[in-house]
Amino acid sequence: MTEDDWTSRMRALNGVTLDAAQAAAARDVALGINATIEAGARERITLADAPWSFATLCASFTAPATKTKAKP
Amino acid sequence: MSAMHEWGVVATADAIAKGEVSAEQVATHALDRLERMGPRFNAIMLITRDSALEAARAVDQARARGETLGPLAGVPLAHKDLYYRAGRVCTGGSLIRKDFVPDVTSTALERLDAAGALDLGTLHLAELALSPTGFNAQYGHGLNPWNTAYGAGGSSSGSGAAVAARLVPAALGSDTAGSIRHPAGMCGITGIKPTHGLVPLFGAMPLAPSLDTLGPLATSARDAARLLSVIGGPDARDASSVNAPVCDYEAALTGDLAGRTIAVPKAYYREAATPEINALLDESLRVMQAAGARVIETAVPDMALVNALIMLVMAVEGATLHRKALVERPQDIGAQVRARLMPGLSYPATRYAEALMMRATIAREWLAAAMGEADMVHIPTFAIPVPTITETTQADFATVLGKLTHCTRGINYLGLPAVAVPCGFTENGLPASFQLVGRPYAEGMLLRAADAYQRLTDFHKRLPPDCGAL
Repeated sequence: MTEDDWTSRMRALNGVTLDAAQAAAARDVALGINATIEAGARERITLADAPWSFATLCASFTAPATKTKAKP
Repeated sequence: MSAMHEWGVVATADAIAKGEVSAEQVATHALDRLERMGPRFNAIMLITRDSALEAARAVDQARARGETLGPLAGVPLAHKDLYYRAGRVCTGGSLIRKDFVPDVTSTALERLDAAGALDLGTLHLAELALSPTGFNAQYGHGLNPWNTAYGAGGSSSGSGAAVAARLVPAALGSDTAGSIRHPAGMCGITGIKPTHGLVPLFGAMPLAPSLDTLGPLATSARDAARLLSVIGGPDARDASSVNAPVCDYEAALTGDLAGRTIAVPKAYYREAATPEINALLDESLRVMQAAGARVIETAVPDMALVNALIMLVMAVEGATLHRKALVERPQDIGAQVRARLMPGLSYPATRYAEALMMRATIAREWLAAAMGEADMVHIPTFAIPVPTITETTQADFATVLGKLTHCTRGINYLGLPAVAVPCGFTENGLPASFQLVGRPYAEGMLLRAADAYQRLTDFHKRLPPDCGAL
């Protein structure tokens, strides 16, 4: 994706106008992070995974339900 | 007896409860310090003297009537300027919010009010709570009381500076990628980032709600424990707050670490630390061993992935919340903040969904590798000496910011609690700090360890130069 493509896409999808330097910086950061997460997800996410929610996150923490005293 | 401004939260509350000093005397002393010393560190956004003194007199009258006082009765506090109080301007450190007056009060402030705390005003923060250094293109940098050529750390920069300079004994901050732990560490005080969801977010300006956490900065772990006990717990107005235990965290402070194990992952965290930071970290471990802890070495999983995940989630959620301003008022957002938000507009929706869906899996991977069977993980708060303001604003600022947040940002993606504890000073005269990271809702354990360490050290008691009597 060229910088021009990137700038056009940002303007079309988000209404944001970027100059060349801003577009180049944003594109480089985003492409690097995108690639890293795409690879991580390919290794981990399966069709059986439930959609994310705060409830699933909280359940994964298996918080004790009791209260009033801190566990030392 | 030490000067009033050195008492801290617990001792101040005790002195007022016993009638050794009036709440009005305490409030007047703190207000005078805020007004006269606060500007030196650019720590203040707004001081509310009249309402604070009125509240102080109400505490004194309640005591005179023999009423039971709350656990923070008469304790003078001020907070990062992103906590809403109905009718009071809340800037969020940004020009785009400079005239924003909320019509609600945040849950955290309501709970502090109910506990009797005094609210003296609002404190400086990084623009939109988005900088680990205290950088703010609109309101100026937050300055470090130890040396004003250095940043106070951010984004809770005013909270860090005000507590370190003993203008107030404690202050609330917020932490999305390290924003409580950076200023606590860089200013030489204690700060705790709770488990995500423990402290309700209602009425606090968000940056990235999946990552945002609220918590106290104080001189000591004991003082932080008192505040966290007050502000934690479920809230019907915040669907992300969880039904976690509401603890008396002070009850956990036994002073010893017998039978507890501290994990030290060498890869990633310690490998990035400079020799003088590593030496201070090693010494802090020796102190905790003297308190009874066992120390083991552990590993870490792929931190490049963890870092990418938090960068994406923070950028996407931050850009979503601020997109209107990015489109309509880009000139009112500093270049550094715009540069950090802008990538968030460009990720595919599938990446964001993947980042959220992987969260629990990655957290389990990190805990298994870094903590194993231990009770907590010991890592640097920042792996380099505190950088100067010049170093954090020049062309390669992104590199310095990356180094500064190397050890903090991933913890927010994982959702885990962490406490930052001062552990000495580097050659530049600025504080160094370690973090203790725990399993979800292990705040009591972390504060117990920090308190045990602080009973054997005095770094948290040291005042920056020229921060004594007025």
